[in-house]
Amino acid sequence: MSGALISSQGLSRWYGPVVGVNDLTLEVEGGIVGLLGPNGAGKSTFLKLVAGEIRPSRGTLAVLGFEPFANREYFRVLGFCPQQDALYEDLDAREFVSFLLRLSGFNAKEARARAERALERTGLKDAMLRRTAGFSKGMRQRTKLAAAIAHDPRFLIVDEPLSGLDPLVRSEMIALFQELGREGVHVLISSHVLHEIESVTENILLLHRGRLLAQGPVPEIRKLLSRYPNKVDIRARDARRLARALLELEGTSSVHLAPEGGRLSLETFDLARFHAELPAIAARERAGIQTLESTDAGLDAVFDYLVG
Amino acid sequence: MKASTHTEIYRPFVGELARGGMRWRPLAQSTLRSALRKKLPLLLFAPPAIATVIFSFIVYAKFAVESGSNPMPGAQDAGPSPIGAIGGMAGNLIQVREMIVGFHMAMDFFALLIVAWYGSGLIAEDVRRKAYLLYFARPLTRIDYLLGKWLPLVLLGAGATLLPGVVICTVAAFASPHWSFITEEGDTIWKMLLYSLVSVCVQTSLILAVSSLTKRKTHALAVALGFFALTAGLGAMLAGMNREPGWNMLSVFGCLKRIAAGLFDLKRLGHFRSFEWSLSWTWIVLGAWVVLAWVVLFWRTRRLELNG
Amino acid sequence: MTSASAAPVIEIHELSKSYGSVRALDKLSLTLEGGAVGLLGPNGAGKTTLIKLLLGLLVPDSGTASIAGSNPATAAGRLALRRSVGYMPESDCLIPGMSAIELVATLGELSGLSREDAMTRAHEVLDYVGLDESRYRDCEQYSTGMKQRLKLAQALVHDPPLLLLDEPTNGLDPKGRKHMLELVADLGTAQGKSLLVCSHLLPDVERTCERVVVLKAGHAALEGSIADLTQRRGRRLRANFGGALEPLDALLAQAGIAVESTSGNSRVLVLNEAEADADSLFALCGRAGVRIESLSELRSSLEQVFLEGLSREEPA
Repeated sequence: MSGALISSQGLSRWYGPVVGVNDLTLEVEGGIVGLLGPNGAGKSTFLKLVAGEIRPSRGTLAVLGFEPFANREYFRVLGFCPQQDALYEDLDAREFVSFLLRLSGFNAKEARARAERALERTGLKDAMLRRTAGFSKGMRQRTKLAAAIAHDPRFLIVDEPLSGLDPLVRSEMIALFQELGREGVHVLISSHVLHEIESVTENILLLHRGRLLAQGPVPEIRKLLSRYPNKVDIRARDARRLARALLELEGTSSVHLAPEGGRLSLETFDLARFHAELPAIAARERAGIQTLESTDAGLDAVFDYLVG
Repeated sequence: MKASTHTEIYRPFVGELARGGMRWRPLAQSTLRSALRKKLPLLLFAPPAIATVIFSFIVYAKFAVESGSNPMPGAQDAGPSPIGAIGGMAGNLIQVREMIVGFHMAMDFFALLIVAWYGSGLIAEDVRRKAYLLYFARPLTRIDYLLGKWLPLVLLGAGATLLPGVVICTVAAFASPHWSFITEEGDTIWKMLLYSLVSVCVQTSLILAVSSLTKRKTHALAVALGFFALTAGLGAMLAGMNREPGWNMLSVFGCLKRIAAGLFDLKRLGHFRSFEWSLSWTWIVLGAWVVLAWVVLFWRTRRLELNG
Repeated sequence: MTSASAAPVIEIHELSKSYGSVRALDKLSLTLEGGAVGLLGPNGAGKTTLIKLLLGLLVPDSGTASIAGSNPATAAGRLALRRSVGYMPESDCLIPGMSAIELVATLGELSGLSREDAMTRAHEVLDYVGLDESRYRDCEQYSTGMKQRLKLAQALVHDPPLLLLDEPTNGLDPKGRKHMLELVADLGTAQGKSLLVCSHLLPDVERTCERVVVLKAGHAALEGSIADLTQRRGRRLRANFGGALEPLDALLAQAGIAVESTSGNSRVLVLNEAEADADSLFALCGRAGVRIESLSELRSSLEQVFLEGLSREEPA
């Protein structure tokens, strides 16, 4: 319990008859965590609860040891970058971020310095003196992000942070999150774009229908899904011969040969054994293996298996 | 029997796409359909409808009573009317004419309500919901778009003035002995049609222009009704203060009443005791409003087309 | 679907368009035949202007263009080309006060279909995108996923040969994204449409397109098939190993297999020209008791291609 980033017990929140989150009991250690789930899974409700915007209907929630709702102490160490656009159009980016910092209690000089640093970090060094009214979607995103990190929070919550960003800026922001993680800042990223979460972190929180469906590093979660055999794709010159040999391997549940030849897909319940025995089989059969890949170990596949 | 399956979901379209022709027609039809879908606003047509029925009855009764015969529909007296009754008949016709004109003045108000209600959202809601992105990706010019919005509105507005007018005139024509309504007061009929058209065109153009300048139906409605009320009030006030009746030309309804008075040769109409300002100038002012409205409409539509 | 001698769907040559002092398109040349092409580029590189041009909403300043056989320089041409183009906008857009079926049918009529044809087609395309019972409901209440599918349906109703899809997976959850990408991929392959897919999500582009065009400052900085651009560089393999790794490096050195880079238990290996496959590597690992957990050809990612395209020097 102590030292955990987020800790909840029986956390529930409903809106009239509609359930946002339903009896969530979880403990998140910290670091960079991805929050995922299909639409209506309760992600936004959970984010709002953790960001202290709404109060739980039932149950307990502690973030960094604080009770989040309307907690000024907590807000000082929290940085929140919401999905919605809420910029003051008339201000330029630097003014906007400074303004928010001053609301948090910084004096004018420090607010400006921090604002400039934060805007530089999000790549708006050249644009920070322009009015936000003329900003593209990507620049608005980055302004919001700068506002969220300007006061050096301990915990950063970002909701769909990369939407509207072109690939160049995307990779810069991903690098920024990784950097923040290395600096010891906890980051909770909510996103629908699985491959981006994958590129930032292995740890995920998967919600579905208001409940916690899975939590932890993706490879570990995959191992827990033992009822789904592991799928492996192999390209080999003589796929058929290799297939015959692999069928005899303990744990193999199916081998599928591609009609065009040269490729096979294998399913096995014992991946460890497969990896251990494959070199010997390859050496023996001399089937000309060219590539070898696990196709359902990633976040995409895990999400599919769990959510359906 | 030969077996076949037809599992392809997407079938190419083998027909022809029409070229040219009235491109605005589908838009006009769908606008009308959407407008009439909601049943509640149709209540706006109730007062004109009820008034039409009542007036028709009064008109019919008037003629029927005067001719001294049983008020049976379609019954016509054969033979020459008594000389004494001719004078009475002529007076009757004039009275009916005045009744018809008075009826139209009253219906103008309801026509405004109807046009404002149905028309204020026509372009404003398209802007708010960004429907123009979908429209202008079609082979649709600006004129097509505007016609597709304006013509249905004219139809709806005509339902409050032109149609009732036609109904009453028809009743009058049938009820008057020897079709005297047509022979003696035939002018009234086309003057009534002309007036209705002018009134509807002016109102629809202005309302549509307001709709194109705002982003919500409620705003457009408020601005439109406010515009009419403001100009009327201002006109009356300035005319009273400066004892210069020409100021009444500020008010759209004032202008319309002046035109009605001019057309039908009336000295008094509504709350106007006299019409001492120039008829030609009134036409010019109204014309200017209409031209301004259409300039605005073309300008706004061009912006929608290009900024989509 | 398309005959071998069919003209390219888009043929643009040295096209320029300026707004005041801003050159939105700068002597852009582009050719698009069948299949799907990804349109990439940083914001402000001219994508929006190019889309407006392809929709016949702009008159080019100079240069020539032929879009689905029509010339956008003339007013008639601009109208005509909209019959052959289907547009799926990025923004949230719909026609207020209508159900999905009416929306699609009305837009179909506006494209030139007769009322009956439009109704039939509307039902067909709504079947295709997967909007079933909900098509009779007011579309203001639709979820994001449904709205995206509706946008695709209205772009397809008049069966245009060219489709412009702007951020087709915008706002979709993972399941919705997967479904949409399947539809887009199907349209480009099985249905034989020519697609121009604008997206910032490179994996989406890789999933659906065979070619890409990278726009930069109004012209095409890079163009080509994804397979060619992300070509294997030599016989390089990325291998992820498992188990005890200490003997591995020594063994690799002994066997003469060059190691280009190392990262944790991952190695980039360069095989000899003579080696057609990795069997010997497997044999080596087998003897050392080292597992090979994955082995893949080293290709540059589309992201690298994109970055390279942007930083390229302009030819004089």
